[in-house]
Amino acid sequence: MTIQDVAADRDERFEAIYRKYYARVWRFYRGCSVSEDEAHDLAQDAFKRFYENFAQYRGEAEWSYLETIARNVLYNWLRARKTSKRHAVMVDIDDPELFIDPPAPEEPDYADRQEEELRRTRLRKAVAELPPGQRECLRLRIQGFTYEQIAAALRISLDAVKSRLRDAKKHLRERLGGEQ
Amino acid sequence: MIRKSDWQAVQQEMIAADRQQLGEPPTAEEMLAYSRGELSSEEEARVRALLVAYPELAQALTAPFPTEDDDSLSSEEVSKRWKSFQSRIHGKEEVPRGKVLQFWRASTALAAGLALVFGGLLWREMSRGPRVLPDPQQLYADGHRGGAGEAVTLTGSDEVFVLIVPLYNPGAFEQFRLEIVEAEPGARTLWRGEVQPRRPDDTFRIEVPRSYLDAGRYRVVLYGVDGAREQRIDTYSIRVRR
Repeated sequence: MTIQDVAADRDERFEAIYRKYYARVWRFYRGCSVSEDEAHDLAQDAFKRFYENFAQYRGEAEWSYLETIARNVLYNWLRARKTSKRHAVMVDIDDPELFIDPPAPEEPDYADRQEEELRRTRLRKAVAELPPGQRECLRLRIQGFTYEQIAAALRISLDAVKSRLRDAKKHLRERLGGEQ
Repeated sequence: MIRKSDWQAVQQEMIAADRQQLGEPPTAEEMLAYSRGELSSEEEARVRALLVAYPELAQALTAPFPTEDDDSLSSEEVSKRWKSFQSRIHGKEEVPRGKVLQFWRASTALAAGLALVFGGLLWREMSRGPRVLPDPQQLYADGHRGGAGEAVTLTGSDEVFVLIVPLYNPGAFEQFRLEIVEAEPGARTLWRGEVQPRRPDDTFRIEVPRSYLDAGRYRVVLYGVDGAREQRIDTYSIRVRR
């Protein structure tokens, strides 16, 4: 087999992987709140990285290898953006009574603003009083993460997540009283 | 009563405060080590706190990979992307071994905008015919000359800075990548280079349009790349004066 044959064989194998997995990589990025066009850009970047390292690829599970690259590309991209514009707070913690959101007046008067600042000060203080572990769970939950996602993100057990969130809510109820 | 908008406002305040205090998000390498449980307990706690401050990274870490095909993209669409990919790999965008690194692409919207500036400047220079580049300026890895705080000062009035980045400790790496970041804690990554092979003379050469760097301090960061893994090898402090 000549060098050209080896190169052709390699390109053929790479094309097969590309065609098989491109849509899945693209969907992974879309699932991370990336726009359609940006998801295509990131998917191309991921495959480019894969291509650049294809010589080192020993034929192990290509999906696992590609997943690692794809996540790294996303980490780098997010790190460079350093913004959470696309990740507006979801605030959907599973205790609906915590979040009562009556329609606010269009032009809040001075008294309303004072009241709002008072509420937020109390909330800030109550959250700040939480132990770090509980606060981390609560903040990710507020951000819309599921219990399973929180456990994976913080590398703790699902039971620990449930326990910490339960304790956090108890603390907030005590501190905020009827305001929650 | 506490309103939804109160939670949103307080959460955003906490995120901003955390980012100010904790600084840059974890690198891809740190994320990988974190997900594999390879960090010390202190480092793990730091990354965990950063994930709360950068929830989009936590989402990237926990988002499941699709394991099944569906019809979200047609085969025609994939073929179109493959064609585009081929031209990117084999076409004019390819950066050959040993060639001067050019800022042909960046990963972020911000950087992409800046990359256009780079591209425009470089193209304009090249379109003038033979390029006359200024003398290259040798960088030194932090800690290799006079301590980490000493920066190489970039001066001169040319349109382009030509930087020579020496490779001191390649380790087992054969491929490398460079970044330019602002020097202060929590600073932005201004440019992210593509993976490059090791060169025979163990240096990398970067052309940076002068207009790209305002007066201030920056760091060139060199990463070793091994497959999906990246490891920071050295940083090179620079200072730009006007």
